[in-house]
Amino acid sequence: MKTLGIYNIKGGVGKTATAVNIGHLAAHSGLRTLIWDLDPQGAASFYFRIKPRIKKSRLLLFGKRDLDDAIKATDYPGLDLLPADFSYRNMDLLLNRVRKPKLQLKRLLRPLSRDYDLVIFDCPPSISLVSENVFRAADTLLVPTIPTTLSLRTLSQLLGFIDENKIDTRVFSFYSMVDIRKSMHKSICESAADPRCTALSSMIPYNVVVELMGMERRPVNEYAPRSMVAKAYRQLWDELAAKMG
Amino acid sequence: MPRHAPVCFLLPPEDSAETICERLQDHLECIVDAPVATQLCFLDSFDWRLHQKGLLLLQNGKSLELQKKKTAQIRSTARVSASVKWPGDLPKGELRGSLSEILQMRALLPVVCVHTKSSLLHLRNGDGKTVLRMRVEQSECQAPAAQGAYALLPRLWLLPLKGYENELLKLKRILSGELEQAPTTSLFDEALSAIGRHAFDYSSKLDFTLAPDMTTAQAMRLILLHLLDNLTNNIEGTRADIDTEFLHDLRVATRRTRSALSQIKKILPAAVLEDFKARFAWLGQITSPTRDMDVFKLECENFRELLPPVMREHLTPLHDFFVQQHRNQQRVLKRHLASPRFTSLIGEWRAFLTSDCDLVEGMENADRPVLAVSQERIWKLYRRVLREGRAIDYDSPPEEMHELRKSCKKLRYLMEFFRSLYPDNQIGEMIKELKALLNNLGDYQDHEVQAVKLMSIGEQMKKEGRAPTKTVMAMGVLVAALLERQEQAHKDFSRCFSRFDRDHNHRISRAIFKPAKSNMGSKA
Repeated sequence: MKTLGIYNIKGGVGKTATAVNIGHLAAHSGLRTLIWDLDPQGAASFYFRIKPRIKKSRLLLFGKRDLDDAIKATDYPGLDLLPADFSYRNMDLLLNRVRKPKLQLKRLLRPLSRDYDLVIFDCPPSISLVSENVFRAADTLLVPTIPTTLSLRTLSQLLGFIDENKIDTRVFSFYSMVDIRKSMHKSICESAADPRCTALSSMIPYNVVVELMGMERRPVNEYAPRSMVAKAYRQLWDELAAKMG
Repeated sequence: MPRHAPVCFLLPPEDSAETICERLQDHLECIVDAPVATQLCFLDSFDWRLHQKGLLLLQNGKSLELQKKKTAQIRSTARVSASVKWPGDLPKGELRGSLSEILQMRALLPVVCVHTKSSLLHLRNGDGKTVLRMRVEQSECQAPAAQGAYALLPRLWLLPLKGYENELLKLKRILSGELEQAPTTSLFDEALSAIGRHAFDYSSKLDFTLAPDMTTAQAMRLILLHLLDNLTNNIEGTRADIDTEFLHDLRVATRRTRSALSQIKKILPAAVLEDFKARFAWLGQITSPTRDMDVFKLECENFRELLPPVMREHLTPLHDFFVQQHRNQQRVLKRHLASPRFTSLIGEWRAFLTSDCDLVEGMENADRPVLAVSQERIWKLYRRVLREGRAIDYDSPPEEMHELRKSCKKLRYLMEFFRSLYPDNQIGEMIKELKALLNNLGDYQDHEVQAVKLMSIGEQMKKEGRAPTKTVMAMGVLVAALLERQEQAHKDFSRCFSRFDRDHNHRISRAIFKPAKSNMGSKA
C-alpha cells in the first residue's frame, strides 16, 4: 500500500481538487484507492456527496473503533472515502493525549494495507500535529504550489521543516492554478525549482472548470473529460504514478 | 469490501430495469444505464476433466478465467485472441500450465454459452449520492452449435456499497415482499440444466449398478446398451477429429462389446452372436490405422527424449510423416463412419438390444442369476491367467506373452462389467493388481510393435525419398531404445507376475469369484 499526502501550509492552493481528481484517476487506472478527508471543512467529502460526519470519531482516532467501519464507497469503482468530521478541528488536542502522537495516522492505517493499493490524505492547511502525522505516514508528499512568491516561501518553509525534523518522505511539488498570462506566474514557472524537492513538470491551469467541481460535485474527468484541466490532471497523475513507482 | 454479500431475486418475465426503477421511485431516486450485452461460455473437456477437479473455465470475450466451482474464487486468468481449443493456444503462464496438466491430450470444448443483457440501476439519496446499485440480468443459454436458445428467469441483483449497508437491508426488505429470492444454484448449473444436460453426463467408465438377482440376460442388455451409448457418444468427436480420446473411447467401447459377446456365453443365439461379433471386429479393424497414428503422434515427444539431444531434431520428418498418414487415415475412417455398413451396425445393434429380446429366450444362461454366471466366467478366466502365466519363463516364445495379455484383458473387462456385484474394495484391489500386470505385458508388446512398425515406416519413407540419412539413423537409435525397453519389460515380467500370483490375491479371488458349487476342478 502506497501513501500520498496532498499538502501545503497555505490554504486555497487546490489541495482538495488535487486529492479528488488524482484519487479518481488512480482508481480508474485499477488501483484500489482510499481518500482520507482530514480537513474539518470536509470539501472532499462534499465533492463526493458524502456527509462529512463520522459517528464516534474520537473513538476512531484512539483506535477504539475500526477505521474500516467509517469508510464509504464513492460513486466510482475502486474509490472509497474516509469522510471528514467537524470534530477534526480538535484533532491536534486529541492526538496530544495519546502516546507517540506523531505516529497515530500511520498506526491507524496499518489494518487497511491489504484492502487498498493507495491511500491519499487530503490535509488541512498550516503546520500542526495533524500535518506532522501525515508527513510521517505518507511515502510521498505532493505539494500544489501557486507560482507566486508567497507560495514559494511556504514551500521552502515546509522543506525546511522536513529537513530539520529528519522526516523520511519524498516531496514532489507542482504548479497549481497557473495563469500563464500573468508575468509572475510565467517567470516563476520558467525558473529553477527548489533543489530540496522534485518539481513535476505537469501544471494545473487556473480555469473555471475546476471551480465547477463545487456545483457538479464530481471529479473533473467525469463532467469535462475533454477539458484542458482534465487533460492536465491526467498528465499529472501519469507523471506522479511513474515517479511513485 | 461491503459487509453484506449481493442479494439476488428472481424477476417475473414481465418486469424490466425500468419497471423496477419506477416501483422504487418513492424510496430513492433511480437511474438506469443503457443495457450492456455480454456472452459467457463455459468450457471443459468432453469427459469433464476440469469439473472433476472442482473447476470452471469461463470465456468472456477475450478473457479466460479458471474458477473454483464452489467458491467462484479465481485461480488464474489469461487473455486470448480467439476461441481456445488447446492449452497451447494460451499465452505462457499459470493458466496454461494448470490446463495442460489437467487436460493432457483432451481438447477444450464449449459446454454451454450464456448471453446476458444487463442493465445497471443506480439508487441515489437526496444528495444525489449513489447508495445502492442493482443489476437486472436477462439471460438466454445455448448449447454449442445448437439453433435454439433457452431463456433463464430474469434476475435482479442488489449490489451493496461499502458504508451504505442500511440501504441494502431496507431495499431487500421492500423487495422480499413481492419477489422470490433466487436459488443459490450457480449460473453454470442452471444453464446446463436448461439445455438438458448435467455435469458428468459422459464418462468412459462403466459406472452402472447391477443387482445380484438380475438375470444374466437383463444384466447383459444393460451392459451392452451402456457400451453402445459410450460408442455412439464418441462418433461425432471421432468424425470431427476433435482430439484423440474420442476415437480411443470408441475403440474401447468396441473392444469391451466384443469381449462381452465372446465371454458371456450362452445368452444370445449363435447366428446373432456370430453376426455382431464379425461386424464389431470389422469396426475394431477400420479404426486401428488412425489410432496407430494417434499413438505415434502422442508419443512423438517421448520418442525425442529417448534420443541423445543432438539427434532429436532429425525426427522432425518422422513427425511430419505421422501427421500426413494420420490425415489420410482419418479421411478413410470418416468415410467408414458415414457408410451404411457402420450406420446399420449401430442401428441394428440398438434395435436388437432395445427389442423385447425374445431372441434370448431358451438360451442356457439367459435366465440364470447374473452373479452365478459372472462368478463362473471370472473364476475360469482367473485360473486361465494363472495357468498361462505360470507356464511362461524368460525363454518362452513371445506369442505366449501375447496370449497371456489377451486373457488378462478379457479378465479385466469381466471384472469391470460385474464390479458392482462384488465388495468394492476387494474387486477394486484385484482390478488394480491385474492392471499392474497388464502394464508390464503392454510395455512388452507395445514397444515391440512400435519398433517393428517404425522399421517398416523407415523403409517406406526411404523409398519415398522422405527420410534423410540422419532421420534414418535417428530412427535406428529410436528402434534400439524401444527394444531395450521391451527387454526391460521382459526382465520385469517374472516379478510382476509373481506379485499377481500371490496367496493374498488367491484368497480374495476364491472368496468372491469361486462359484459355490464349482465343478471347475483344480485349485488356484
